[in-house]
Amino acid sequence: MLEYLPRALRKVKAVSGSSSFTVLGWCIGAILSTLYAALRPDDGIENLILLTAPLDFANKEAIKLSRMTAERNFDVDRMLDAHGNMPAELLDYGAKMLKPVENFIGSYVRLFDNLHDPKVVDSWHAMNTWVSDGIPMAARTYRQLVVEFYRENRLMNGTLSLRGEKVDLGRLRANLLDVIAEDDHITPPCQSETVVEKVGSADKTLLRVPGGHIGMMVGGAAARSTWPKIEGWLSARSKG
Amino acid sequence: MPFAFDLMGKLRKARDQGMESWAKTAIQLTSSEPYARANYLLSQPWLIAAGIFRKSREKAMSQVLAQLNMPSREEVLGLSQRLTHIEMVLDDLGAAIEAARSAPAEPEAPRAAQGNGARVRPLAAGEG
Repeated sequence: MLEYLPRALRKVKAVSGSSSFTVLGWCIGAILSTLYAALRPDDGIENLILLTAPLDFANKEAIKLSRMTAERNFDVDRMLDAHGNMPAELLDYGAKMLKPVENFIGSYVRLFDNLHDPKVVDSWHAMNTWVSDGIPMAARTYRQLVVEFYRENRLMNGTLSLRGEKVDLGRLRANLLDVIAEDDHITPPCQSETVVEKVGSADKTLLRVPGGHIGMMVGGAAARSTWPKIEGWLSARSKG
Repeated sequence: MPFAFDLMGKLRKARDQGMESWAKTAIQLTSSEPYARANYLLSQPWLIAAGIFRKSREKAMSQVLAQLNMPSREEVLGLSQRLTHIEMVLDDLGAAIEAARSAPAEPEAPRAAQGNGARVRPLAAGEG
């Protein structure tokens, strides 16, 4: 993250001709965006938009994945020893098992009910392809996510270090829009709300939108509710 | 008014209701501690076996590759890391050159005392 992202952002700045920019991250992308914005606040990040950001892992009861990844229930080293990296299929399976009937049966029942409508079929196919098109997660990244985030909540406790650099959320000064999906079962609202109190940004907004982890970002409802609000927030803070 | 009995509609409604209650039960089950514990215990033998199998497969593969005089996985990985490093250094160099090119040209320094390496001292008031 500290090798690739600075170079990618340098290229963005060179191509766009702008010294400041906006970063938007969804889910794990929101973790990476937050870490980068806190570690490199002077790199030109003007606005930071987080969608369903899993940042606070304190509430073990509300976060269903916390139970699955707890030390007593999950041997992360043995898992990685068996697979090398964390297979995308297992990540997908773990997320789907939080709502097994909806994901493994309901989704196909909905498709069956709408077979006469090519628009719905195309949309279902696009979504299903995207969801199933994961890539394995690098072993060390996965281990860090499970141990340092899910189990030890290091980011919120202020004990997280990346390559020897301490991650201090107080150093994050970009304008912050924290978007929470009200019905998110993968990243429940309690995981994203508290970051607003921790960051050093003067301009911070917490936005709640209807929908689940994916529905808040794609589909008709997202196009009507989430994106126009993000656009409104961003246009008020965009220099270009 | 004709009486219309929508059998399919009724069946669909019953199916949806059944699935809804089934889904709630399944969520409670998969979110519970006993489920997580059972999942852990049941997966252990498989994970241990998979780990042993993976290691022996990798060992066999590296022996085969060595016999065929082909590079091992570690060697390919090392090469990949070096290439990535070279790529990043080239990227940094490119960015530095670009920054130097786009920087405004500095005024030329005085060209006195050429050849002997002596530095030109600005004249003080009253000198000369």
